[in-house]
Amino acid sequence: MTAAHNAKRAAQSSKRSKFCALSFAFCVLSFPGRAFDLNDLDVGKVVSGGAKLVKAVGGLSDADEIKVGREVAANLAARYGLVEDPVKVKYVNLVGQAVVSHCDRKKIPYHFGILHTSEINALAAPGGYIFITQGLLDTLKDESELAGVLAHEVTHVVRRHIVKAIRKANLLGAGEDLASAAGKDVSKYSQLSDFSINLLSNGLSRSDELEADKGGTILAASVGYDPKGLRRSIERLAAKQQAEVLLSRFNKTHPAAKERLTAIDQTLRQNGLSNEGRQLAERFQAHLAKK
Amino acid sequence: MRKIKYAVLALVFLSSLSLADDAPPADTQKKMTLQDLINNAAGSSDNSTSVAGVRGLEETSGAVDTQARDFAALERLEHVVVHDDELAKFIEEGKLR
Repeated sequence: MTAAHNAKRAAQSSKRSKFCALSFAFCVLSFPGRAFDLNDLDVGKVVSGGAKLVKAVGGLSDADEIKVGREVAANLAARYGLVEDPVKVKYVNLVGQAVVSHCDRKKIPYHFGILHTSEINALAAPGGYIFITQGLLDTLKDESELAGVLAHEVTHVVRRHIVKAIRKANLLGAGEDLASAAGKDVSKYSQLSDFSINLLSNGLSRSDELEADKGGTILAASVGYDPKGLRRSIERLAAKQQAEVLLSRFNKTHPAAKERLTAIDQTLRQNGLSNEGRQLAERFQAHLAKK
Repeated sequence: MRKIKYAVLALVFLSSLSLADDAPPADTQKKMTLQDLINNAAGSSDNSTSVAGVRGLEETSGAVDTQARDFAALERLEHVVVHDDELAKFIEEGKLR
């Protein structure tokens, strides 16, 4: 092998190296975040695929759901504080219990609290712990609107929407209930509490929210309230500036108002619900008027 | 010949930069987070309802303090009891059912 031949091979090798480097650079620069980027891996699909493979049929007993819900409720109480005005709290509980008296899941106790924040929202923790913010209360005009909002949240509990999400996330193994899972792993309760707290901050699924609108509208009407109470409250919030910071969480944790109103209108039509229910604006103002 | 080679390389480099500019900014690219996992679990990946948190740190970082607990306040709420007769009176006064 001659020196000239070696030099030629070295030059060819160098050219190949440069070509490879340039090709690599081209790929990386042209498709940033895609080429050779593990972050692009669709973890959601992998997780949901895995969840489909291992269908969790285990669940939470009422007692376990209440235990998890209590952790979530204590977390909300710590993060926002609870309004402790006895007149307001009692009134919200009376309206809530009137709604519960017509729901399909009366075996668990329900508690209705007011979160001490001007943010506009309402939340249902597992196990019957339901909260409305002072900010949302301030936007409501009558008792039928409050009943509609609480009925929406009660429906989340009745339909066990968070429990369903826990199952879907495969946090409990196939055929495993929380009691047996906690027997093997004491951190199981806190895992489920953390999951539920994050879920409430991120929002339930769109279909669960629409189901709660439908169920809540029917439930409030069955108590004798104006079935359009929930609709009016959503319509009023939609008229507010979308960018209003106090509505940001509400807007991001619920489907668009237009879609919700359309679904509620459909529910009203399909169930023949009229405007004949009670609105009770005076009673509402008498109990919740700002002092 | 060498000039042509450099011209081609420059062209390739510039076009790659141009394509890179067309791509979404790095911070808007899809990267799976814990919140995405939760949304997927809840079946809302396409209609994501993810949101940042509420107060202080939550507003800026999106993190939720999952460890905070106020059981004393919760117990006071749990002690608010609506008796059957109270509820019956409330329903009757409101002409409800």
